[in-house]
Amino acid sequence: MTSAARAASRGATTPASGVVLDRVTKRFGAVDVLRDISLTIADGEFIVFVGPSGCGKSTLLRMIAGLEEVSDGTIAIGGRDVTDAEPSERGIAMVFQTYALYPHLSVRDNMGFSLKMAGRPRAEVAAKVEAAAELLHLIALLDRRPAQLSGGQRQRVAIGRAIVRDPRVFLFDEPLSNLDAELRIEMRIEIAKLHRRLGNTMIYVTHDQTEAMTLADRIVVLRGGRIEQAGKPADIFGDPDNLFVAGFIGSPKINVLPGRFTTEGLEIDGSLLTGPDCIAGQRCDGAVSVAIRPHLLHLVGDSDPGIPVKIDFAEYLGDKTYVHGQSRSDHAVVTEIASGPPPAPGSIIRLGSRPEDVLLFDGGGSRLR
Amino acid sequence: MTVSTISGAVASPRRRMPRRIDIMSHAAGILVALLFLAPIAWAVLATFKSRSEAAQPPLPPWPTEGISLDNFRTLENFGAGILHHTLNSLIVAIATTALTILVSVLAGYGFSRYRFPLKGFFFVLVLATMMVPFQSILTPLFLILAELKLQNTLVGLVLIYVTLQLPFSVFMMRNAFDAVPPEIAEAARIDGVTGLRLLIHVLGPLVMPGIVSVGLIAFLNAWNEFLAALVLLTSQDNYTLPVLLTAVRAGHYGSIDWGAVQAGVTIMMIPCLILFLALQRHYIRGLTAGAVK
Ligand SMILES: Nc1ncnc2c1ncn2[C@@H]1O[C@H](COP(=O)(O)OP(=O)(O)OP(=O)(O)O)[C@@H](O)[C@H]1O
Ligand SMILES: [Mg+2]
Repeated sequence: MTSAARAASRGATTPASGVVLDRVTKRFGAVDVLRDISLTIADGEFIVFVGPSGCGKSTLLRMIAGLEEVSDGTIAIGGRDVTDAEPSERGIAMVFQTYALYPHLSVRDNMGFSLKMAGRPRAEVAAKVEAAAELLHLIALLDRRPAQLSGGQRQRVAIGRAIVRDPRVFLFDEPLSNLDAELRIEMRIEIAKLHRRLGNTMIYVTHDQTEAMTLADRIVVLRGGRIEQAGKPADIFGDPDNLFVAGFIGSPKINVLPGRFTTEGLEIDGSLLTGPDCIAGQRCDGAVSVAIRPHLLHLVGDSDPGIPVKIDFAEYLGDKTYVHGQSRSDHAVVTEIASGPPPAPGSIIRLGSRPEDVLLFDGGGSRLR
Repeated sequence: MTVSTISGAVASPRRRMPRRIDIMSHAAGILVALLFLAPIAWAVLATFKSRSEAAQPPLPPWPTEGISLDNFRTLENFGAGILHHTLNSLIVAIATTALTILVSVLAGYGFSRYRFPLKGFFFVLVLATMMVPFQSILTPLFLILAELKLQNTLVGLVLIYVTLQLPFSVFMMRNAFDAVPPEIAEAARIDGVTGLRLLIHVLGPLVMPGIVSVGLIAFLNAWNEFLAALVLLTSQDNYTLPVLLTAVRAGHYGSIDWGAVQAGVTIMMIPCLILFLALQRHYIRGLTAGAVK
């Protein structure tokens, strides 16, 4: 498949102006850290890379930035092959987790550094710095040194420095992970606003799934150097391709129970559950993994199909309560109760679901659709 | 017990305690400072004694027979004059400092930021030369300089000083560059600044405390060095201050002219003091604070 065809198949718009990764591979010595990554990112898209620690998110981002060499494959930005181009020639700007501000320069000089080094007229540099500072509420801080700023302010300066370069693509590597929880939410909203305002392509690495879900136009889930799934947040959450993606996104974690189809329907631990119908030849034979999101399980009566769950404890969160328990085969089950008193520990409740909310996976973890 | 006595009992030691500690630490600090300053003051005071008084046992340390500039006159009349020899010393020390900084910054930058074959080996090789006592290579160094027609020249002396200074300086500078977070250089690379421009505009300012330390040490070592200068410089015109001072030391009839020696020592101290005072800000403060979280 050519990259153009791949782009078309994913429904991307003009691929020529976005970022196109074509079978990108990265080896450190003998170790393949990334294997055959192909991805087409449309112009203006907000892409989030998520995945467990060490899966290669940062490496992939740094390869797009040009800070890491590409072992195999090609990277194109804006329709131009930049596989071997210097970072400064790629039309990208990067915001680092550690901010990486120049400590000896004022905020103003930090932000204007790239333009000044490129020999642009002083007035132009000043104007662009002012504009970016305005956008990020940094005007009052322009003459300070990085050491005199709070973490959140430093991060804004780092973003400002990126904006001043007027890049085609913004790259963020876990930009908020050094901030405290409250500030993180605030900055997350600011970044979302910034994206709406600037309309640039943004590629964002995080392991915070809330950031991923809220910011992304499209989430790319990586594991062990491969793309597990790339899709809209709603698709990643509601329609995962495999068990890993289903388990990685969503909190509390999705419930996974072993099940099988009998003549009467989907059965878990000997109890029937209203699930999708069996499709002959695909899932009626053998065991399946049944996955249901906690909030999609609900209490059912004794005569309705449902699985019995023995309650361990409940977590009260104000607007809802998470109830933790165990299925008959000792698999953990979590459900969400919107109101009312939680069931007592040790008691047994019956949980059921709507058929369309039940996801089935085969023995290898691939989704059965 | 009433409330007021409790609060008084609690509050007053809390207010007084740090003050008592303050006083004690200041007293200790002053005592130590006096210990260090006493010999210096002694030397400076002795320079103002007349020649005959300077030869007496040095108690009290200050001149009792009136202030005299005899000792400075002795220095002035010796050799080509104290000014000339001070200039020799300054030329040697400043040139050594400049060359040491230039080479060690470039070498440290290279060792820290570039990958090349046998890098580890070369670095250890540079460091290993520190293990060789320089007195033991003085003869070969002298022969090499003679071959280069640089014996008995200040240039030759500078080259030797730089050679002796480099292993430690390169080591220091490599550490200084290593301490700068790699993201800063990467950010600069994205901003289009690499190579020598990266060194000048970004990394240089960040390793300034290292540069200052290396420069200061090079200057002081070159300023105070005696043996190599003694061996290498044969004509009196080229003498640096340490060599001059041993020459001036010999007074009449084998006695030692302490007054002249103290005057020389006092003059030699001046640039060192100025440098320390001017640069203390730099080697105390680490500039990288606030670069990354
Ligand atoms: N310079 C390097 N040399 C050798 N291996 C490396 C190098 N850099 C990264 N790796 C390896 O590549 C893999 C991916 O690293 P990467 O930093 O991209 O992970 P990540 O997904 O960003 O993880 P995290 O969420 O912890 O930041 C890891 O297994 C790491 O050990
Ligand atoms: Mg990472």
